[in-house]
Amino acid sequence: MLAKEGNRHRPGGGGLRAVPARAGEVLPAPDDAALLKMLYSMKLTRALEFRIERKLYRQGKIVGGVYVGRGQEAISVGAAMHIRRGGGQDVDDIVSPSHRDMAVFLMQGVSPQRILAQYMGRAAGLTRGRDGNMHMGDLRHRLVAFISHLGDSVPVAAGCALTFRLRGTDQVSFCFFGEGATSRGDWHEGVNFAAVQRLPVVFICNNNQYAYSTHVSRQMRVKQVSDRARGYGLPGESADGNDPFAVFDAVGRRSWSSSRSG
Amino acid sequence: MSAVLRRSRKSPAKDGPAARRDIPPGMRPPPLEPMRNPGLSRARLLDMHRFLRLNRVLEDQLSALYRQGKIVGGLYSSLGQESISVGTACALEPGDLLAPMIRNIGSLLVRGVPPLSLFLQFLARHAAPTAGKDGTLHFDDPGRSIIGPISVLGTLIPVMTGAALAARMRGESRVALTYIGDGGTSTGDFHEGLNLAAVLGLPLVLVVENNGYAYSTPVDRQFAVDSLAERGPAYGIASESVDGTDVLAVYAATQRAAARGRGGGGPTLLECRAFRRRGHAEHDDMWYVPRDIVAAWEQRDPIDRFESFLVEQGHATKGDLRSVEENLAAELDETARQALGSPYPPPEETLRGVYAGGD
Repeated sequence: MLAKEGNRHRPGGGGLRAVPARAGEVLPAPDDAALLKMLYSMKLTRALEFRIERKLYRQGKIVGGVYVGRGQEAISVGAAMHIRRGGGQDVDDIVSPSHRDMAVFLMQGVSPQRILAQYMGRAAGLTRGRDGNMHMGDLRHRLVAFISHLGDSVPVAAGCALTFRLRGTDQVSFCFFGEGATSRGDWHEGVNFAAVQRLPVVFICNNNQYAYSTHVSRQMRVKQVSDRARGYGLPGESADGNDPFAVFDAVGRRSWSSSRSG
Repeated sequence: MSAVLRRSRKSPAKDGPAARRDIPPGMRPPPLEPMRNPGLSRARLLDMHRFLRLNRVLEDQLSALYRQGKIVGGLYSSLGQESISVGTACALEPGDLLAPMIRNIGSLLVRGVPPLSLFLQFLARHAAPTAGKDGTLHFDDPGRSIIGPISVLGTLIPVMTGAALAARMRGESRVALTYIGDGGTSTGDFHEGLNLAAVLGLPLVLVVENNGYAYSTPVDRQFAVDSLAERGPAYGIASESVDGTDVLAVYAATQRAAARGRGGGGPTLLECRAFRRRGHAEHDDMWYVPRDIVAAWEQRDPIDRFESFLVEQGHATKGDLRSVEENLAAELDETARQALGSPYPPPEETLRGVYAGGD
C-alpha cells in the first residue's frame, strides 16, 4: 500500500514496463522516451482538465459535476507508468482509477475526444451519454469503471487480482483512492481480503488532505495513510506525490517486487 | 465441492499428526505465564471466581435444555472464554456502558442480570427481558448500562462509538466497552467504528475475543497479521494482546484501557487470545477443527487456572471451590425449574413494542 506525501526529490532508480518483469529482476532506469512520456501525460491531463473545468463547465456544456486532479497529476502518471499494457488478455494489468486520475485514462489509451464526449453527455463518450464526468471505464483499455461510492473499488480491485492468481498469470491490479475512502468499511474489507489471500494488487492512496471538507486530521489518527498497512500485514510506504520520480520509484518497487512475484 | 467437504469432514479424526502440522501459530495457546494478582482483595478474587463458575454452570444447564428441545433459537457457548467476559466486566465502573455479544453471558452476570432472566430469555417465556419475542442475549438493560447486542457482527462497534460520544458530550466520565470476535474484525463496521473512535479520541474499549475460528473460518484465513493488536497502530490507538484464559491479566488490561479512555487517551484495542472449544453454536459439531488444538486449549482452561491460583495463594481450599460449584448447580437447578414453569407470551404480546410510544 502506498501513500503519497512527504518531501523526497530523487530521480531515477525506476524502470519502464515495456518488458514484462520477472521476480527478482532489477529495475532499469527510465530512458528519455519514458521521461518525455511522463511529462506529456501530465501536461495533457492538465490541459484537458483545464479545458473541461475552466471553459466547458463555465459555458454550461458539461453534464453533471467536474472533479479535477490539478496538482496531483504526478501520482496518476508516476504510478500508471508501471501498468503493463498492449500484451493481451493474459498479460495486461488492470486498473481501478479514482475520480482524480484522468491521466490514467489517457495513458491507458482513452482519447481526449472520448473523454470530452463523456463530460458533455454525448453518444461518443465512454458511457454513451448515460453517465457523466469520471464515472466511466472501458475494459478494452483494462479500466474498471470508477464507482461513485468511494472505497467500493477496493474489493473490486482485489477481486480482479484474485482472478489473476486463479489463472496463474503474473498480472497486477492497480487501485487508486483518496485518503477519505480509507475510512470506509469497503476499503477495510477489500484490503484485508487482498492481504489474507496474498493477491497481486497495489493500493495507491492519493492523500490530498481534504475529503470534500474534512481535513485528514479529522479522518484518521495516524500520521500517514501507509501506517495503516501494518494492521493488515502488508508492506506500506509513503512518497512525495508532487515528485513523479518518487511515485514512479515507489510504485515500481511494489508492482515489480511484492505484487508481481506473489 | 460437496466431495471436498465430505473428504475434509473425516480428516481431523483420521489424520491426527497431519492435522497438527496444519495448526497455524496464531491458533496455538500463547506462552504460559504465571497469573499475577493486580491488587485485588481476597473477597474480590472469590467474587470473580463465583462469576466464572456461575457462567459455566449456567451454560451447562442451558446446553442440557437445548438438547431437550426446550431452548428457542441458537445457543452460543463461551466455554473456555468465560475469563474474558468476567475479567473485562469486573474491571469497569458500574456506570460504564457495556455492550455484550453472544458469548458474553458472564458480562451480564457481573452486571447483575439475574440467572432467572437468562433462563426465561432462552426459553422464550413471557417474563423474559424481550417478553419471549427474541432469544439468546438479544436484549438491553438501560438500568444496568447494558446496550443490547446486534446480530450483525461488527455493527455494535459504531453504536458504542456513538454511545461514548454521547457520554462525552454530556460531560459524563463513562467508558464504553464492547466485544468482537476475530471474524468480526474483517467487517467494514469494525473499521468505520474504530476509526471514528480513534479520530475523536473517545473512551472506547474494544475487546477482540480471538478464539481461533469465525464459524468455520480459521484465523489464518481471516487476517494476515500475527496478532490483532497490530491493528492498533493502524488506527493510531493503543493496543494490547493478553492471554484470554488468564482472568487477572484480562482484568488488569481492561483497567488500563478504561483508565486511558477516561483520561482522554482515546480508544484501546484489546486482543484476548482464547479458543472456541465448542461449535459456533450448539448445533455445530465443529468437524472442521483439528482435535489436538482443542486438546491444547483444554489444558488452558481459565477456571482451572484461576482455581489453582487461588489455592496456591491460600485464598481458598479445593473443598471451598468445589462447594461453590455444587451450591451454584443446586441453585440453578431450582432457577431452571422456576423458569420452565413460567408461561409463554400470549398472542397479543406480538403487537406490543412495535411502535415507539406504545406500551
